[in-house]
Amino acid sequence: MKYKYRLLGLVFALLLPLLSSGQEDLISTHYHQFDVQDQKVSYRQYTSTSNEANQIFSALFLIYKEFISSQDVDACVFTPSCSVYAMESIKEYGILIGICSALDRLTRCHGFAAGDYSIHPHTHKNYDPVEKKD
Amino acid sequence: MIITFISINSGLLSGQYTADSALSFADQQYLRGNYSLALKEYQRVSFHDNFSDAYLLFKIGDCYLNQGDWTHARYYYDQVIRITHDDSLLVNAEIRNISTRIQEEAYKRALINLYSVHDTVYRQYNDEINLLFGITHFGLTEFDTSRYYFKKIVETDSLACAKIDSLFSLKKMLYKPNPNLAYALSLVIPGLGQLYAGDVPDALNSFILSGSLVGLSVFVAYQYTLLDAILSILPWYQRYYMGGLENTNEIAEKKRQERRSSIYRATLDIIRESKNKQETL
Repeated sequence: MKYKYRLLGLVFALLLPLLSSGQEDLISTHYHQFDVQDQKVSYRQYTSTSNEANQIFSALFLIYKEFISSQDVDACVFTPSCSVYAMESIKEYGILIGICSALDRLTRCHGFAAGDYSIHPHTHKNYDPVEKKD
Repeated sequence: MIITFISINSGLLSGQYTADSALSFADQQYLRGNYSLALKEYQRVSFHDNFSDAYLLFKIGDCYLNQGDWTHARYYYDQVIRITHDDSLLVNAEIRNISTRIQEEAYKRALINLYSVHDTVYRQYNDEINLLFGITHFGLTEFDTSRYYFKKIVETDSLACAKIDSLFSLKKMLYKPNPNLAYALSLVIPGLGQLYAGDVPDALNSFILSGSLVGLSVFVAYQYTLLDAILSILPWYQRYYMGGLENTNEIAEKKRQERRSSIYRATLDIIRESKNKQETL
C-alpha cells in the first residue's frame, strides 16, 4: 500500500513543474516589496449632507481635520477621536443632541478616563463609539 | 461553483474514495484557485491515508501560502525540506520559505535561511537565490551588498550591470531626505523640515498654524500680560509645534522610502529585461 503511495508521489513530483507554472515568478512576487502604503485617512464617510446646517458642520469638520488636526499631536484618548465622534453623533442624532453628546465626550477626554472603557485592539485607546439608534 | 458541486457529488455518489482520486480532485481545485477546498482535500488524504509524502506536504504548504497564511506554509515547507530527496521539491520549498520571510519583512531571518540553503539548491538556482539575497540586503538597507547580488544575476549582460551601477550610485535617492535633518530643521522653524522633505502644502500648513499662534501670543502679551500669553496660548503652541515635528519625521521617512522603492523597482525591471533578452537569444 505504502509503495503505491510512493509511486503516486513520484508521479506528482514529476508533474510539479507543470502544476507550479501558474505561480508568479519571484520578481513579480517581490516587485512591490518596498512600496509605501498611503496611510492618509479619508473622513468624507463621516460627513453628512442631509440638510444645510449639517453640510456646514461637515465642511467645518473637514477643514479642522485637514488643516488643524493634521498638525496636532495624537492627544485624544479615545477611538474614534472626539472630532469623528462629534460628526458621527450629529449624523446619528441630529445637530442639537449630537453637539450635546460631543460636548459630553470632550469632558470625558482626559488622562484619567482609562479603566472605564474597553481597549480598542488596533489603536490601544479607550473604545467609545457612538451608540446607534435602535 | 457548479463544476465544484458536481465534482464533489459525483465523488460522493460513486462511493469510491481513493487517495489518487482525492489528490487529483485537490489538484484541480488548486489549479482553479479554490485553495481552501484544495487544502481540505490534501489534509483529508494526509489524515485518512497516513500519507506523509513530500509532494502532498508541499501542496498543503502552497495552499496556505496562497491564502496568505505564511506561518503554516513555512511549517509544511520545513517538513518537505527535511524529508524530500527530490531536488525540485527541495528548491521550491526552500525558495518559498525564504520568500515568505521577506514578505513578512523579517529580513534577518531570511538571511539566516539563505545562508543555510542546500548547496544543490544554490548551484541549480543561482539566480533565484541571488535575487533573494539582493532583496534581503536591500531590506536591511545594505545597498552595496544588495547591488552586488543583483549584478550577479545579470553578470553576463554588461549593459544591465552598468544600469544597476548607475541606479545605486544615486546616493541622494537612497539616503535623502534624512529624517533626522528634517526634524532638526523643523525644530528651528516649524515647516522647514517638511519643505526640505518636499511636502510644500504641509510645510505651509505647519508654518501658518504655528506662526499664527506665535502672533496671537505676542498680541495677548501686549494687550494683557506675558503670564496671560503663556497660560492661554503656550499649551496650544506646544501641541501644534510638537505635532509638526512628528509629521516632519514621518514625511521625510516616507519620501525616502518612496525613492528607495523606485530604485528597487527599476533594478528589478532591468533584471527582468535582461533575462527576457537572454531567453530570446
